[in-house]
Amino acid sequence: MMKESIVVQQIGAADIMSLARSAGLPLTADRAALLQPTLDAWLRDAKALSQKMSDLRDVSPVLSFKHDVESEG
Amino acid sequence: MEAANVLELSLANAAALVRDKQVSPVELVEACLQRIESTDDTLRAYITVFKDAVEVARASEALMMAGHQLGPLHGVPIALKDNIATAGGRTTAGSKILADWIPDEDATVVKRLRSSGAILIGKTNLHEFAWGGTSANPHYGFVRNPWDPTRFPAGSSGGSGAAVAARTCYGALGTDTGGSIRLPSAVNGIVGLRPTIGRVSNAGVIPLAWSMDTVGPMTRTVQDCALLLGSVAGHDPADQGTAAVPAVYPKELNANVEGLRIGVIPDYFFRHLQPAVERNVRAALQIYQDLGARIVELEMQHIHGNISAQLTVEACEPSAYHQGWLRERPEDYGEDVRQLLEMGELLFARDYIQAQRYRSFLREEFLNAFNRSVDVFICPTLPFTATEVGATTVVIENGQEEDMLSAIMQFTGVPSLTGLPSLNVPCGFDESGLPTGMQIIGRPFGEAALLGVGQAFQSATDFHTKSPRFAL
Repeated sequence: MMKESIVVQQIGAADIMSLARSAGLPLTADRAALLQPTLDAWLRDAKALSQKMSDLRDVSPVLSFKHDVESEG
Repeated sequence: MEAANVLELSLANAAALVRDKQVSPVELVEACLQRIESTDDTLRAYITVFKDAVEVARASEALMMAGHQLGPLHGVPIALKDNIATAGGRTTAGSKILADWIPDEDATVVKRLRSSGAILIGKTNLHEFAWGGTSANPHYGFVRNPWDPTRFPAGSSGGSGAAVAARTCYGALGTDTGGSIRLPSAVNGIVGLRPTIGRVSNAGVIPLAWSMDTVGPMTRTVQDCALLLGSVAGHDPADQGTAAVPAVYPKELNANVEGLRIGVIPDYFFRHLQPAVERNVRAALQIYQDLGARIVELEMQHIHGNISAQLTVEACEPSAYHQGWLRERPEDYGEDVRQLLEMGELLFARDYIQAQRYRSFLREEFLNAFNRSVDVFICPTLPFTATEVGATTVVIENGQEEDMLSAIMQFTGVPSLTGLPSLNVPCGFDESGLPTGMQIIGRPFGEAALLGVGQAFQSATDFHTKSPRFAL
């Protein structure tokens, strides 16, 4: 079966305004334009990573270490 | 002893001389306050200086003369990053929003420092709310690098880095989320440790990103770093994320690296960095080999992607913490931090969770390498030396300007995401005399071994003994 890739299109200032409205974040058009280049790059990279991780179904997020005294180096 | 000589003492030596009644805590504090007075108009390393530290020092001296030693740091001046709460002392996090906040209670690490006998000399400047890597603070002044005040001190613990390098204190605490202890340690030519996640309590520390934040020591020597870590580490009922593992003490450091297996990932650790940084880290690896260590080259298939994961987690979590203030007082943030907080609100939950899953995945890859073939990893701490104060971009190679935030976390992201401990050790200078740092990454709760590896390097080199010209 062919895998469906996450489509990554450029996020424009209007999209950012729309996202901000959904988040309840007041954002003027000027500020949306300021955020656009960096947010667009971040979202593209995040989606690439998301796509990679979506193939790895057995990984769960574990963020702390077992408190094992014997592991003291 | 003359003030200038007193300031050149390491933390461990200063503590020993106080213990032997050869130096008074009053001498140490007065020398530090005098140095702050003469340097801080330029460096802007401090937000608050505790002038009453002299009175505390007199009490500390009286206790010592009466035969009471509070702990291993008795009488030694230590600075704190200003996102660490001090009871009755203003704690701003480098922000306008908390400019007048006076906590009722000390952070756990502050309580422990006081119990160890340390004298708090002041609260250090930082990137606003620790969200950034330059310490260009619009509210309390841009912090400057004592090796060259036209250059930045990195961040976010830039004030702590500059304060230690300029000999205005004998050690400082910083906080590290994506590199905020290690980066300023590298560009200021000092030692800085990001402990294993859970090693040190975060209770009373203003968070940046809860799942990656940790407090850690910044000092001039590895031995000092162990001393400071030993004073603040350990389980804390006020922070359920802390681990019940034994503390680390300097006497445990084993500087014998004969047979040590040093992991290197050539495809990642030696790509996209300034020539002086590469040259100095490779020279450091050769020194380890001369001392009997072995280099093990590895591939880490999934290391690429770590910067995106770090940006996603590090953007989303602060935006949750700042949600209310961002709506009520947006104008009170500096422009860069405001933009980062706004962007953090616009990322997707799926991407945040996938980034968290990636962290587990990456951690497993590193733990497997530790189990199979290496004892530590060594790489540069950051790919460049100190840039100009106020720069928001950096040139690493081919004259290409890059965004500072992504570029600066190229190598510090791995320990931040995996929770592994990592240590910056000074490893030389570039052509302009600016310090370079190497990062040593160790096993979970393996700080004693990690510090021993750092100690071995400092026993064979003298980079850590050099003083910045500006501070002389």
